[in-house]
Amino acid sequence: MMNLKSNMFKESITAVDKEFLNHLFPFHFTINDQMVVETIGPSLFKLIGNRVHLPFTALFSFKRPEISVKHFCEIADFTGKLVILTSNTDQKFLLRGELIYVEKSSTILFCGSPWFANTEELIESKLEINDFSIQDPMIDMLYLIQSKEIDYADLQALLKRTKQQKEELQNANANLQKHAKILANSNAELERFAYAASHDLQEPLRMITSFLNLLEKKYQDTVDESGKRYIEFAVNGANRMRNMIVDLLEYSRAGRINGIMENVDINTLVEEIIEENKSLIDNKKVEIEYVNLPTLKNYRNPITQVFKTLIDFGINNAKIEVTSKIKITCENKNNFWVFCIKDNGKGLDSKQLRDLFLILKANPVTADTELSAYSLPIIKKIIENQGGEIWVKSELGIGSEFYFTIPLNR
Amino acid sequence: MYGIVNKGIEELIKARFSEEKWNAILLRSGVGIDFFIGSESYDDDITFKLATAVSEEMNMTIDRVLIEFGKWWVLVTGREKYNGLMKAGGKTLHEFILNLPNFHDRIVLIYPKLTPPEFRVTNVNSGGLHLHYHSKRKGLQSFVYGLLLGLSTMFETEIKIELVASREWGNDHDEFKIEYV
Repeated sequence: MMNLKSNMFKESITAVDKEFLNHLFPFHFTINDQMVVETIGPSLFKLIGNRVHLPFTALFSFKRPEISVKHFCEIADFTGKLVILTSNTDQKFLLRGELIYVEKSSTILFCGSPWFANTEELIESKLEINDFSIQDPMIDMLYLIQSKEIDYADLQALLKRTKQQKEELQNANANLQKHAKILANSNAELERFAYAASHDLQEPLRMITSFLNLLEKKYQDTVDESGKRYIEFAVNGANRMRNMIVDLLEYSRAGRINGIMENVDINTLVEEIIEENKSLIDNKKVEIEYVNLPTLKNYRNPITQVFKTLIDFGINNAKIEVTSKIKITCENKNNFWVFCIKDNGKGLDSKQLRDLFLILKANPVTADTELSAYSLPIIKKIIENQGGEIWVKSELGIGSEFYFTIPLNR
Repeated sequence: MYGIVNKGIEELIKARFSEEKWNAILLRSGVGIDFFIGSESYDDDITFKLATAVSEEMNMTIDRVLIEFGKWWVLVTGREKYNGLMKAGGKTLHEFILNLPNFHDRIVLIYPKLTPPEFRVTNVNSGGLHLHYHSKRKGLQSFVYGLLLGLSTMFETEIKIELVASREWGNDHDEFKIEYV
């Protein structure tokens, strides 16, 4: 049952000198036809000691193929195959390799090396790297196993850390949601308060204004010029306060959803705003240009307020000396409508740009215009409530460009 | 370099100093990675950035950092992660250094993306030997010096190391003369 491979070896093996065999296969051994171990390689010698002339079965058993051998010819049957042997000595180990039949000397040669599943077994065997032939991949495989074990430990650590971070993130999210809820409640409370306060303040203010007017009428003959001027200051103050209260009321209402959502053609909407402000536009000699503006699915009143405020801004900031132009454009970008309202008016300085959308007692941007101090903060609130953003680019003496976005799908 | 090297630096800093110190070094280095996987290949630049950040944070020269890291690599990383193979590398320092070229060449098989340096041993006698270090990377001579000091400690063998050739002096590789004292 000798196969071709072992036949190829049988003539040449006798020519291989002992030193060469020891170098290439330091764990080799040979068995004669009496089943006695005749020679042992130097590294196998290190593992089992001088066991020459002992029966093969005293030293080894077959693990694969799992057979019990008694006769030489039974072993010879397994030449040219992978064999795994278990040591029967005190030092327990596995040998994996190949049996080669050497016909001339009627011996069987085992070529192979110990098999270790991990580096601990290597340490226990007391073998060193030098005990293995350089071409033997056993040590390389142990390296590989070891590095995979290190990888596994790294991945376990990474998994642990990821899990920990996930928990931290979940906790942070829960915390964030809790605070967002508190903030939303607080905002709603604040809006309710602003609405109620501004609404309730109007009544006593109306009373103050009425009685001041009565006072002026009834005592106009008896009050001197200083007295009349004081009454006038008081009436003007009351009027300013009324305007502020109205603005505050409007700001607190801004963004609240009233009415129904409808298709709002922005071209028509702009046309209507121009029509309403015709005399002012003519006076200021302002040209308003707009083409192909989209139709938005939106609430009519808030979106009208946004366009009206920004067009009013352009009109109010028009320069006297040149023909003023306001250009309204829109483009579809990343699921948003991006509107631009550009004018060649007075422009804004850095302080005005900084305070543009702030609620201030006297907003420097709208101070000299017919716009209310709250008009720009109000439209910012409307746009942000719709999920959009508003920003402005401006240069003093050159003009301003207002940009705002409205989500495409609402 | 493979992550195991960067991980070694991280472990050295954490063990010798603190986790906070390592976090400060990581921040200073500008390396945006906070977890290194041993078998992952990372840009060499990351290792140099880490070593530079260590030297700045600890007020040490880069050479000092690399020497300390070389010692750590042998005495801690090697022992912890490749203990069996380190032990099988030789019974004495002399044997271990003789095996070093083969030992190191095997790394190519485990980390195929790595271009590890090559070692060569000459002038072998009972009193010492010459270790030749060929590397594509510049600036790691001190790391090898640290490795030799670590091995000297591991095998409890006092040595005298003399640099007899260096790439910095125009040679094509570094050569260390090692004498057993």
